[in-house]
Amino acid sequence: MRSVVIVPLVLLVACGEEATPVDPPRARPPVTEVMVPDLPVDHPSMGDLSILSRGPRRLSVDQLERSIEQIGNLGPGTVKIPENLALTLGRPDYVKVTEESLSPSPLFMKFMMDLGGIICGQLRDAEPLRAVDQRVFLRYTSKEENLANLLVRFTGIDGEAAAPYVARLSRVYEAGVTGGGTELAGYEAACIALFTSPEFLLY
Amino acid sequence: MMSSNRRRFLSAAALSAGSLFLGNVFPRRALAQAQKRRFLFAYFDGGWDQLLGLDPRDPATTTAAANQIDLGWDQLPGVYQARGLQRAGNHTFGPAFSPDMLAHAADFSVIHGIGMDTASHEVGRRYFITGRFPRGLQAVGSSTPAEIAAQLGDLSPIPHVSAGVESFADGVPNFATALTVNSIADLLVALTPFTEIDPGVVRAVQLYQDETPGCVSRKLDRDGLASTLLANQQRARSYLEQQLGEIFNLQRTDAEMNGLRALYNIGGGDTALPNSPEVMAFVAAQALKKEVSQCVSVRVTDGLDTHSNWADDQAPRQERGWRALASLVSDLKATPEPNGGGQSMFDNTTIMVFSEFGRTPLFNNLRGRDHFLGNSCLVAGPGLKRGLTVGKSADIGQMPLTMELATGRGVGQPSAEEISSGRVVNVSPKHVIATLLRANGLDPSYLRSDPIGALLA
Repeated sequence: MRSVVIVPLVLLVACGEEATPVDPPRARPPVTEVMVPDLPVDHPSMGDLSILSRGPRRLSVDQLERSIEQIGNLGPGTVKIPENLALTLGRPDYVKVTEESLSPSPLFMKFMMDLGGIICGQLRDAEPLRAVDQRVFLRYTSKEENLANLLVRFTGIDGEAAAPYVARLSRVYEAGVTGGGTELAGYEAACIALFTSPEFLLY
Repeated sequence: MMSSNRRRFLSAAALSAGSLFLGNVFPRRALAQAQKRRFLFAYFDGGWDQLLGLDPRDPATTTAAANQIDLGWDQLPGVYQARGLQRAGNHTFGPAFSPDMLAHAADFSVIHGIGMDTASHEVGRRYFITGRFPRGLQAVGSSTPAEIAAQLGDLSPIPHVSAGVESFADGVPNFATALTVNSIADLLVALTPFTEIDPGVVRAVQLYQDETPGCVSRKLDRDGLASTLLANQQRARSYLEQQLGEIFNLQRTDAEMNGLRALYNIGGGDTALPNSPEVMAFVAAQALKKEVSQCVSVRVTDGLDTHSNWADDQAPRQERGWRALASLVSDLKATPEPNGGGQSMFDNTTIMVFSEFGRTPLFNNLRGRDHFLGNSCLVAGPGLKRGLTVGKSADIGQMPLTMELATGRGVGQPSAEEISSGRVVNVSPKHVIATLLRANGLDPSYLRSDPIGALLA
């Protein structure tokens, strides 16, 4: 499967600077603010109306590709899931199937685990060679900040809501460091865990 | 008419009341019997030409001018011209029906005159897969194998495998949702651990996956999607833990796999492609034989949508599907039933062979055939009579005739009483599926349709 996912991290690494031991900038990637339109005067509260918006959905293949680019600080259009794999993940072929299947099926989840392994493994390998502001795993000095950064990149969860997730990811990180033998293995484990989480795959 | 309907209603009500008392005994026994059975749904993708397969006409008595049915067999490659109309017991088949499948014909029954009410691929396919007419293009309800798996229970490692066929799950337990794969390559990925992740990292990830979902996940679970995702994550892991991949590993060189490659003719040309008819039939057979799955859907051929190039493409592609199916049936017949009793696995397997619709009996201006409302299908299995042909398509124009469900007789001009009583109906996929469910003691009530009584043993 590794051969079928095109993520040009090698190119990216080649363009990156050598790691510098300076404390990197603290700015997090901005989270888009959700704009809520003003209601007309005397309009009942939306909460009282029991009107539900459409339910959550799974990421489409295109959304997945673009998300991986954002998470990994990769250039736009650089992640391309090959067509046969994309069809398996639900993309329509417009010959027999004309609508995208967005079911989080067992096969989809297995592919996500494998894909997470590939992407996060490549990010792990590239990390020491990337410029500090391009890093995904080791951008900050503390583990908690790095995990919070990873969480926000994958899910947009920030602030108070992030605390329980960071605690959870810390446990994964520790287990990853123990199991994989390196600090980066801990971040790799946290990365894969987020890759296969509902918080990332559903919206 | 009213008194008849009232009689039917009261009769049904009486049966329902009776079932309150029998409900604790009969269904449980029937279910226990069904739980030992297997279900195979074989799909011919693209819309098959019934004249070349299940619903042919005699060239000696059929002309385009008189019957509005143009066989066109003189345009086919020589082998099919030589084969012509083929007979096996009570059945007649067209020249694309393969000789090896002909040898199994006596074990099957044919249903003619099925009305599809659509000429759309998606709609016809989803109608036959679910037994319920789609809303627009959207499937309604679950795939029949998912419904069956839900009724049978979580009895096998992967209760429902769908190889190259769409599957739908609506309101069924998670275990009944299909493992849907487009090829054997997909299946092997699903069943084989990805070795490039450090096992220590995998264990750490699983630690996260085993924890209680976070609050955002719970918010995303408004329609149950997050729960489904997490349940499927666990199922994907369980597939790996059961180490089922070797069952489907065509690269094995032991005697069993060599024999299977020979049986399914996997090797030369495009037969070894990961989604070839031969490989897909092999996948279906292995899933059933090795008790990986009780309900399997499989696409046994494709490329049948021959609006043009009919003469060169339709018969060979259809025949290839029949050949693949014949190999599968031979394989099941050669495999003893693990539950004993001297039966083969075939004896305990319900099979439905279908396509989304037929093709027009007259040619278009490209000498191809377009989509047609009429259809046929092939069924076999425990609880079903063998060697029967029920239903009929018209001698002129081949449109489906209505059918008397109790006898299977095609009725050209039913009386108002026959229609209102429900004895004579326009047969559709839901009747076929209700028949399969009833034959196995399963509940077809969700289809709101009577079974074809003539087929029930």
